[in-house]
Amino acid sequence: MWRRASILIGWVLLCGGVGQGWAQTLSFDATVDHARYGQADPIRLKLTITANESISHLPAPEIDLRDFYAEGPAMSTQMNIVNFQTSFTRELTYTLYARRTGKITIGPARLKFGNKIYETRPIALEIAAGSTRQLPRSVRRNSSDQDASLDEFLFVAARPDRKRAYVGQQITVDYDLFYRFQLHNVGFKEIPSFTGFWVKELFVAQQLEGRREVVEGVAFNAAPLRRVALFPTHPGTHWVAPLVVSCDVPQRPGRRGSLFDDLLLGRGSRTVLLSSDSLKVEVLPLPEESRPEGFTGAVGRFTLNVQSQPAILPVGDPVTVTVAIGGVGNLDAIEVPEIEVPPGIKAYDPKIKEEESTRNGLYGGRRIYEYILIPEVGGMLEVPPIRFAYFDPDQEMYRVLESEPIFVNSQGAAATQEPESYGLSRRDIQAVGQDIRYIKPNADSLGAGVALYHSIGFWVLQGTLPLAFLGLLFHQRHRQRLEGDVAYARRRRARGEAGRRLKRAGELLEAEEGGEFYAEIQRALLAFLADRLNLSAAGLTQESSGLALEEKRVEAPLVKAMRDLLVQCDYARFAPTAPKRGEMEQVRARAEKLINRLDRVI
Amino acid sequence: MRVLALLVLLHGAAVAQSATANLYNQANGLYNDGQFQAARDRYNQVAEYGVEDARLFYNLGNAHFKSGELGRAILWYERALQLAPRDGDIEANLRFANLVKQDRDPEDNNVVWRFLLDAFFFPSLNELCISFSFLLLVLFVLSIRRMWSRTAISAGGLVLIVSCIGLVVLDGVYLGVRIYHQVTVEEGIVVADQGTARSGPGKEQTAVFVVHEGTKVRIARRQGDWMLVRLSNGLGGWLPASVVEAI
Repeated sequence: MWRRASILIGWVLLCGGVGQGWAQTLSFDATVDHARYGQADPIRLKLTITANESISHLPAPEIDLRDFYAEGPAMSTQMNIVNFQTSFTRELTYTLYARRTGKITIGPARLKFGNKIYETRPIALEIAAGSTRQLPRSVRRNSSDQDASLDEFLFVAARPDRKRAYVGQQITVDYDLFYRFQLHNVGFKEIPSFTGFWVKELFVAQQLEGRREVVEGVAFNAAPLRRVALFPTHPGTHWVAPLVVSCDVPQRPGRRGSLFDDLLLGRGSRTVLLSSDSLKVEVLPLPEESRPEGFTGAVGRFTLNVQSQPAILPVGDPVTVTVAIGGVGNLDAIEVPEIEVPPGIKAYDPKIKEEESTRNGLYGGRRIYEYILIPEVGGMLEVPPIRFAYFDPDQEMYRVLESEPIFVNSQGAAATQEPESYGLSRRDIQAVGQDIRYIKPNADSLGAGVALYHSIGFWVLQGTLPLAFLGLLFHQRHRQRLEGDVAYARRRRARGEAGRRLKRAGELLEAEEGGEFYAEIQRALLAFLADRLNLSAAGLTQESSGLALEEKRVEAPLVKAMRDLLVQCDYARFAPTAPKRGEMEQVRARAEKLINRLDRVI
Repeated sequence: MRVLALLVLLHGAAVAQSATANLYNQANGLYNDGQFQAARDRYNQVAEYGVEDARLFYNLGNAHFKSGELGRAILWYERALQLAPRDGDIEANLRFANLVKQDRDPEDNNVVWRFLLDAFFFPSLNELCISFSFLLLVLFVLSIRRMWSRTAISAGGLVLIVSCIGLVVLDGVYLGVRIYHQVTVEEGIVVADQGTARSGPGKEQTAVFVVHEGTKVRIARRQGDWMLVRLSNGLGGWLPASVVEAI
């Protein structure tokens, strides 16, 4: 296989090299098998593209298939080499089902290749209702096409319970799916429109529930898909359009390959469309002769039941008359039965209830009319019998049902009150007009109406809370540090302490106590240094304080100024003569300046 | 002296309050008597004082509606709804007025999107501001308590504080998005009988569509006496500024 392919590829390359100068040629055709099809028949539309160069990059052709349910396309590609000339063929096969009957044209299909657009010739088809294939399903396998053989395994049948019915008579159509292998993803592709019928869905399958059924000697699983009750609305020949179902089937149904095929190649699946046959129904008009008076179109088998309550009542009280019409047939064709009310009784429109039911596949139920009658005069009042006419299609004759007369025994004098106050509660309240809702009531004050997000106060408040939190957090940290960290505490209080000593020195200056003054200045300087550098004040001398400052990389002039001041204080303290006031003021100013400078650098 | 000045100011504000409330109540009386246009003028006087109150705006909408000014009725209902987004009366009247107007709104079939949009605008902006302040205050109190506590934080306490922080952040983001929307998205209502939108800001430009009274538009740009508007169906064009009034 691979060897063959490589030879072919070699040829292609060779021919490609030789044929570079050739013009590209392409042919594009569309074909179908027949010119006439039934609506339920699959139409195989084949688009064939032939070219003298590779067509692997070709885009898909454009084709308008809006008149069809389309499946596919299945695609196959071939390469042929004849007389050193290579040709490539691609076939696209669509399976189509016509959406309508009559003349339908397929195409033209368009294909863009290079700068040129190729078109197929349009194909005119004539589509008839139903199927033009007359062979039974089990022998529809003479076609060479693979899909034709699917009928052996899989088809949708539409089975009506009758093909001839009167107008209004129920026709039950069962749509069943017949299959012989596992199916997946079964779904309704198209629900028929049932033109000309009033339709009631009786059953719609939610999942496949197959039962065994033999068709022409072949055992199938038959799963009901849908059951509908159709009531023809007018006479004539009607066609019921096909039901189209899509499902996934194994690639090669029924033909089991070898175990290796299954294991290595797998058994893929593909989606197919299945269509039931169209159904032809003859609808007969209802007989004109002997049509009873009051017949309104009800067809089926019905019963009539009339009850009234109470039998005896005071004048002005309501009597409820219940008219129940039940049976099988189209309930919608039943019209409100008329009650001929005698003078002296007021009647209101009935309240209608409906109960639907399906019995043995026949749609029907019960319609109940509740009339309210109010006797306005006293005495025994008689309401004539209620009549109901219908057509029985099984017996092919009209029938008339008639109730007993209704007697109302009203006692007392004629009502003085307006009887309208009765019975109204038995009806749903109807809206008679619409208007806007009323205004809001008076107010003591109106909103100032400032949008909060516009107000500066709002944002200030939002900012205050986080800032207050940060402030408190900082304060808390500071307090904790003062309590737990001696060095930090001494450092923080050093400047304050020095300030107090300088102030004390000022007082000593005023008192002209020179020795004490210089001692205080010296203590202020040394204590400040000791606190800032967390050293013992007792052991600090002018020498050691200078060294400590140098260790902290304080600039030399500042260290020298410190030392000089301390030395000057030492001399002055122990000088035999009293210090001069001007000199003392200068020393104090220098000390303060020095402390301030040191405060910034250590 | 300052206290006195403050008292005078407060008194002045209270007098103004009661004056506007009196005008509002007078307008209500006129409305009750069926004098809708006189009521409308009186309500408008109150609105000119700068009063922003959902009840006033709603009643103004009603008075305009009864005076046959559908566009302005819808305008005032929309304004009222911004202040009281869950008021059933305002919603009902706005819905009714929108049914009566000439231009039909495109149908919004996306239920999920509609629900999300309603949820987004469920609280008013003031409610969001208040909830944000409240959450911030709770977080502040919890944090201060935690700061002064000398015991280790419990798992429950941690969850409480983390949840509170999460809520503050969420509420803050939501508030931010809402304010951004409020500030950047400008909508308006067509208050003239009809307006012809043009392809540019000028009468000589090509007419592109016609809108009628009551239609809601999004105002994208203003240029001179013209504004560029967009409709909910995607159409856009320039309308004279006198045709549309911003909500």
